[in-house]
Amino acid sequence: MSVFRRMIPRSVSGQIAAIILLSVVLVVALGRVGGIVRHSQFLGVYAFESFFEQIAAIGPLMGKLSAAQQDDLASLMAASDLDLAIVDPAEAERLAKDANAPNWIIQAVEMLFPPDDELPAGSRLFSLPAATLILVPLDETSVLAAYGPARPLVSNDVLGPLSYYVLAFATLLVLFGRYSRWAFLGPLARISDEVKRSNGTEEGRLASGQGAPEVLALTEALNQMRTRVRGLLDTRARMLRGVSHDLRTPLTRLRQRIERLDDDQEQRKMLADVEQIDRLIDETLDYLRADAAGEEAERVDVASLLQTIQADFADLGSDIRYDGPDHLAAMIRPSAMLRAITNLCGNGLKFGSRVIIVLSRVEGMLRIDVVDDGPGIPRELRDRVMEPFFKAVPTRTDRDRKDGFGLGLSIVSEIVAAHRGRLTLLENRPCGLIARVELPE
Amino acid sequence: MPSDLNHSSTTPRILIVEDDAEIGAMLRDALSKNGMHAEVATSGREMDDRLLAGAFDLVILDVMLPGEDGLSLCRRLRSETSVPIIMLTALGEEVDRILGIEIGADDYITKPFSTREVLARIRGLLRRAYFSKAGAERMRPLRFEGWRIDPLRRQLHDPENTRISMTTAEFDLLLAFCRNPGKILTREELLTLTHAGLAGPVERSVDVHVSRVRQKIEADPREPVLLKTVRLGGYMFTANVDAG
Repeated sequence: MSVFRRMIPRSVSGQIAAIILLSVVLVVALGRVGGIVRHSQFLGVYAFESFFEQIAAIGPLMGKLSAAQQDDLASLMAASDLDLAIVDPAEAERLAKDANAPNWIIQAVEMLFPPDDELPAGSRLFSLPAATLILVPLDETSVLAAYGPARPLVSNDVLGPLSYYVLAFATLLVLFGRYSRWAFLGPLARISDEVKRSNGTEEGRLASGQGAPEVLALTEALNQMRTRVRGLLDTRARMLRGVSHDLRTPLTRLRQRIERLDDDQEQRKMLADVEQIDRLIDETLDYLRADAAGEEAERVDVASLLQTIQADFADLGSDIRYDGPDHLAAMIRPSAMLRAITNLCGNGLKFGSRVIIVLSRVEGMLRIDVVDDGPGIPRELRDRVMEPFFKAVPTRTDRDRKDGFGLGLSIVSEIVAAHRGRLTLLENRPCGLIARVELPE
Repeated sequence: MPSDLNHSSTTPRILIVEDDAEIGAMLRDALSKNGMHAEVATSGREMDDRLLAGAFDLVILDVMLPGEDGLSLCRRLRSETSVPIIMLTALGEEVDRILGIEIGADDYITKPFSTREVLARIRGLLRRAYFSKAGAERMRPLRFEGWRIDPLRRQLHDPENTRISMTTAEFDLLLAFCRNPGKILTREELLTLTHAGLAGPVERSVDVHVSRVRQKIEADPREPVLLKTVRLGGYMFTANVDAG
C-alpha cells in the first residue's frame, strides 16, 4: 500500500496525467479482451456474424441463377451447415407472419448495432426464439429463406470500436469523479463548512486531512489568515484593555481627591463626571468581552436570570416588571446574556419610564422581549443603531451624562450572534420599542 | 462604647499594597479617619517586610504591581495565611479568577472606587472573618435536596444541574440559611449574617428578598417547603444541608 501510495504523483497536474494514463491502459486492456471474446464461440457472436456474411454474399449471387441452379446451390450449401430453401413469395409471407414481430429491446439492439455487412436490397431479418430467419427476394417468383444461429444480444459492434469510446469515456468520468471528490470537492466542502461554523477568530486550526496538495495549501493559508486575524483582534483588545486600565488609575486618584473636597455641590458634579468616564470604560471593556465570547455555554434557568435583572433594576427604584414562566432552562452563556439583557433594560429605562421583560417560547425559539414606553427608534435607523459608536439620539447636554459611546446595542447584538440568535427592534403600541432577542433552543 | 472602639485590640490593622503612592496614601488616610490602622506597601517585597514586622487583620492588594503581580502575591499569601484579602482591580473581567480557587481572594473592588465602598467591604469581610476563622472551610460548596450552592463562585445549581441566577442579596440570604439549617433566624440576625448585601440604594425588607428566593427554589412559592416562615420569629430553613 505504501509503495502504491509513493507512486501517486504529488501535484494536481501529475495526478490528472496519471488518471488519463490509467484510463488509456484500462481501455486498451478491455479492448483486447473484447477482441478475444469476439473471435471465440463465446456468446455466439462469431457464428451469427459469419452466417450473416454468407447470406450477404450468397443472396445477390442466387438472384442471378436459374431456378434449378438455385436449388442446386441450396443443397450444396446445406453441406456446409447452411439451412437454405427457395420458396415462393406467398410462402415467404407466411413464414414472415409466423416469426413474431421482435420486441423493442431487439429492435433497439438491431438499430444501434446492425450486423457488419449489408444484406441485398429488400431483405428482411427475423429473430425467432432459437434461430434467425433471413428472407432475400430473388425474383418475382422466388424468395431465399435462410435459417441461421440465433442473434446474440451483443453484436460485433458492441465489442467493437464504438464501445471502446464509450468505455474510455465512462472510465475517465468515473475516475475523475472519484478523484475530484477525493482531491477537491470533499476537502473544499469540509473547509467551507468549518469556516462557516467558526467566527474566524477562535483558537485552533482547520483540520487539513487528505486532499490535493493545492487544497492542503489552501487550508494552511486559511489557517495563517485566521492566526493573523486573531492576532489583530488580540492586539486591538490588548490596546483597548491597556488604555482602559491606564485610565482607571488616574481616575481613582481623581475620585479620591474629589471625595476630600468640602464643596458638596461641586463634589457631586465632579463625581458624576468620574462615574460617566468609568461607565464609558466599562462599556468599552464589555464590547471587547462580547467580541471575544470566551465564556462557555451552560444550562441556565433563563427565567431566574431575567428575574434577577428585574430585581436588580427594581432595587435601584426603576419601574420594571417580569412577565413569563417561573423556570425555563436553556444552554446560554450566563454572564454574556446577563450583560445583553441588562443593556436592553438599561436602554429602555433611559428612554422610557417603564420596562417589561417578557419571556416566552415561540416556534422552538426562546424569545425575550424587552418592552419600553419610550419614543422608540425610527424604522430607518433600526439597523444602524446596532452598529458600534452609532447614536440614534443626537447628544444633548441634559442627556449627556447618561450617554455612553453608543456601544450598548452592538454589545447586545454581538452577544446574541454568539448564541446563534437574532436581535430585532420592533415598534411598541402606542409608543416605545420592543427589543426582541430570539435564541435557538 | 467610644472607648471600646479606640482600644488597640479592636482597631483593625489593614495593609494596603498599591504601587501608586498617591492612591495608597489617600486610601490610608481615609481608613485612618474611620478608626482603622492602615499601612501602605508599594511592592510585594515591601508587603513581605511589613507582614514580618507585624500582624494584619486584612490585606488590600492591587492586581497590577511592579515585579511580582497582585494575583501571584495573593496566591502566595493564601498558601501561607488565612488573612482576609481584598483585591483592587481595574478590569472587572478578572473577578472570576480572583475569587476562584486558584487565586483565592475573599473579595474585590473595582477601580475607581469610593471610600464608602471600600469601608463597607472591609467591615463586611472583617465581620465574616470574626464570625468564622476558618475561611477556606466556609467557602466549601453545600448541598440541600439535590441543590448545590457554591459560595466561592457564587453559583446555585438546581437538582437537574441547571444554573439558577440570583441577585447578590438573594444569594447571601440563601447562603446564610444553608449555613444555619433548622434554626430560626430573625430578620435582625439575617441582616447581620448577610452584612452589607441587603442594603441597596432602596432598602428592601428581608421579607422581599426571602420571597424572591422562594420564587427560585420552591416548587410552589405560595406553599413554601424549604424556607418556612416562623410566626413572630423569622424564618427557618428546613432542608438537610451537607458539604459537597
